[in-house]
Amino acid sequence: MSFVLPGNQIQVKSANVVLGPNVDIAPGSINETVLTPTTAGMLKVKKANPQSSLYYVESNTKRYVPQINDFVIGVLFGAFGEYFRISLNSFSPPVLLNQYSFPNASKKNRPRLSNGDLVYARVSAVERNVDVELSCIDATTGKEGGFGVLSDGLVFDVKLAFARYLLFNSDAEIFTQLVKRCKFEIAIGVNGRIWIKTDDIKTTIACVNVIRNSQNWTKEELPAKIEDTFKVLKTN
Amino acid sequence: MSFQTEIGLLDQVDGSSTFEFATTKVITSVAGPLEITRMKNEKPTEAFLDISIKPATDVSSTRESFLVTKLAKVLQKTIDMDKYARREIQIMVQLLSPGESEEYTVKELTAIVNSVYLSLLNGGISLRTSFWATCCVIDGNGEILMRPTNKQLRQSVSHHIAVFSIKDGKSDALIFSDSKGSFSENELLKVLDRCCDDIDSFNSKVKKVVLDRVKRDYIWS
Repeated sequence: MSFVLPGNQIQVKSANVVLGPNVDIAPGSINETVLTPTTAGMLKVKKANPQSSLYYVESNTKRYVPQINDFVIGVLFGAFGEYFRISLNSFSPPVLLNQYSFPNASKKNRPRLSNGDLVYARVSAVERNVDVELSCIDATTGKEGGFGVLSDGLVFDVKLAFARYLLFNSDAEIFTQLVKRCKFEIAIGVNGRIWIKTDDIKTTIACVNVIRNSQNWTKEELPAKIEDTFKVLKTN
Repeated sequence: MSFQTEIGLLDQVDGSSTFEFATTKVITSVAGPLEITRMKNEKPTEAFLDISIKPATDVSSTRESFLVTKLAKVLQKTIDMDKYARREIQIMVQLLSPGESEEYTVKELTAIVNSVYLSLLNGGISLRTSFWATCCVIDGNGEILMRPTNKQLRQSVSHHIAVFSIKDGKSDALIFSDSKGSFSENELLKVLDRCCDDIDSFNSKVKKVVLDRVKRDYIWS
């Protein structure tokens, strides 16, 4: 892992390379594979499969750009034809969710959603010049897979990088600390939205505060700060 | 002489930064890729850059429009425009302190280019290459003075700005250069050489300020 800026040349030994986010092929390199980052961040290399390695640059941004198979939380704000219009990010183009992209949906059995509803979905199609499409069906099983409407609970925004970290690291310190204190249901969207539901409002607010503030805490101060947040809850 | 910068200070935009050198200070912000705001601006194969520059005092005039066209020349070569087809990237520049008389734009443009570069990195806009700008004057004795003061600028015979792309921490190709005054071809080549060296001397600091910002984003890990 190293810090890179655009214009840096990343020499790649084997020709089998998978380009991840924020990495591009350097111009003018035809015979040898040279990569270049497109933004500032930490270069990471992982094994994509036995033959090839994945190169990507980890970088925090504020605007979410849909990528295929991302898990996202969207807000429904309209419907036309057989589609729902979903917002993933303020001031970004809306994305579509087909009414039949729900498990067991048919002409007679359609999901009844209204404006302002939250949906947890998977990005199923990203094509240039065409609207992005979501789906609430698991790609591998063809069943529900945890997607669908999120009712009750509370949704809040975090940094995109932090949302990714939480989604891909379910054993993150913050979660191991939280499960000791309360029961909760959580959905994390890589578009920087987290939905959480607990038994009562006070605990929900405490959890939201802990998760939202923990993106500005270091690992060392995390346990003490969580303790502080929950202490307030007990005294009131 | 060095520069001061603060990256990511604005909450409501994707990327922002202030940049200050000598007595020139600007603040810039970047938002994008956005949905196109006016249909007539839509470009089917590349991004539309919506650049606006606001002066420190008074309202924008032809002087600022002139700066916009110059900035657009730099950005069209450095932003990965093809990646954002039919999208818009908004770039706002507010001058806080021009640091030069009204008839000059060289110091302002230098600060604007550098600040926009830092904002673009902060906003995660895909770049083809890094870039950096610097300016200089040639005085009455034929001496080249890098990053001049307002007084040096007024007494100069010619003034120059150069923007270089940066490859592996070294200045690589000339992206943009603009000169005004009387000078010979040899002098211009010398100026470009000096600018190239000057940009190299900044690289480690630029890298450090950007790295600090990235580290701040990942404080939890």
